[in-house]
Amino acid sequence: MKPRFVARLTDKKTILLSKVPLVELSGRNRVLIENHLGVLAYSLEEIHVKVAYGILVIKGQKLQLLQLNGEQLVISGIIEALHPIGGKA
Amino acid sequence: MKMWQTLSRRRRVEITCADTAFLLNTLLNEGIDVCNAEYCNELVLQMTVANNDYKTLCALAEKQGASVKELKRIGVFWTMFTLGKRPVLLAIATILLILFCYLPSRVLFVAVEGNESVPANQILEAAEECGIGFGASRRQIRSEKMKNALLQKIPQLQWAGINTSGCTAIISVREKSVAEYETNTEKQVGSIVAARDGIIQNYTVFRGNPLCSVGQAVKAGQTLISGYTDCGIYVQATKAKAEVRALTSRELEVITPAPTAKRGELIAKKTAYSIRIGKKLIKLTKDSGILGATCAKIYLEEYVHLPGGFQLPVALIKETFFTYSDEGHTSAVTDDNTWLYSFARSYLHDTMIAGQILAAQAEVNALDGASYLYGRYACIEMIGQVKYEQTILKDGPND
Repeated sequence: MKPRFVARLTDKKTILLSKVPLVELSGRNRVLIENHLGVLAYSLEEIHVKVAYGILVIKGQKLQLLQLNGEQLVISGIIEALHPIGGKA
Repeated sequence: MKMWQTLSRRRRVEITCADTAFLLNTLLNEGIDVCNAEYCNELVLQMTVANNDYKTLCALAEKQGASVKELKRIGVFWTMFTLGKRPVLLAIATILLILFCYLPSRVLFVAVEGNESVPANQILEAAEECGIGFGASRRQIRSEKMKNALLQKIPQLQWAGINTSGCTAIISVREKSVAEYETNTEKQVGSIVAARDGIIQNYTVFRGNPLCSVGQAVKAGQTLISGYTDCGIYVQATKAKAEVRALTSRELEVITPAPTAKRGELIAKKTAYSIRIGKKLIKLTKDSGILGATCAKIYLEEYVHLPGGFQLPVALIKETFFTYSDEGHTSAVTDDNTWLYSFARSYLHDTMIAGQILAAQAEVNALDGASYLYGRYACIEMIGQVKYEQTILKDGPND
């Protein structure tokens, strides 16, 4: 059995190498998405973000794009739901 | 990040396009960073972009048939650029900044404490001459040199200390006791000299060495009693003390206008106020009036002082006018020559020390519309005057 910290490092490396989206939800007011591929739809209640495996739907109220660049996307507002949609693993 | 956003040049724009999401993706592919994107409606989007990306954004928007409207310029650069268009504001801000840096190192007020018999004004005047005044450096006024200069200016002070509290310089003083001050003057070496020409009638020496004799004619400035006494093996130096009475001769000329107006009863009294700011005089009362021969005026000027004794160049002026009835004119020559004689005598009495008039020869004449008195008076008076020996200070003025 591998020690725990080695296992954690291996997992992190896997995530970084495979470019899978990293979604970080801070409370109910802020979402940080890394490794995104762009915005597909944008409104005050719903934002569709293209990710490697498909689409990530963020639902809420008064949604606002605080930051949008090639590395990360930050959304603020009242987050009500996060729906990953897509078939690819 | 936020600090960088504040410092960097950025623009807030409003984009109107058919597909806002597509536009955002296009911007993303072109490497344009978008901040604070705000959804206004399906067609309108507000966002903040860097100033360098603005031209690219406009080009991309034009390709997609979208319109870009600049709402605001954000960042320190734009703020400074806007300030540059307001030179007065910029100048005031610069002056305030300089004052903010300059004022804390300067003295704005001066206060005196510990004085009893020496007036605070005298100390403040002496302090100002020594450089302790409005605008003086706080560091400089705390030096020993300043304290010594102040003590030299006011000999009644035994000790002086200068401290600063904020922008106020506090001069703490301790006065010499009266006995101590008198003892100091008694310790000085001085002789008694003749104040004016005369023939010595008698003298009484309490201390010193007499150099004159009764019946001797002396000239003004001649030493009568010396402070130095030769005791054989040493010379004793003291402050001479004596009373010397001598016969003197005085000449006096008095001129007065021949017709003089005589003041009657008070008819009216009026008060006028005005404010003086620097050299500018603002009259608050109308018709201040032109003074006539039968009018008198009392002029009172009250300057505004700040705590610590600093005088502002603002003063309230109160002028009181008195109008008297005219009771005609009288001639001093024809009516009453005795007034001139008595005035001459009283004037002489006032100017002499313990003197009296022995004989007088005076006459009054009319001269070009004036009364002219010329008199010669034989008097007997005290002519002794103390003259201190010169002392030379090492680092200061000579007395």
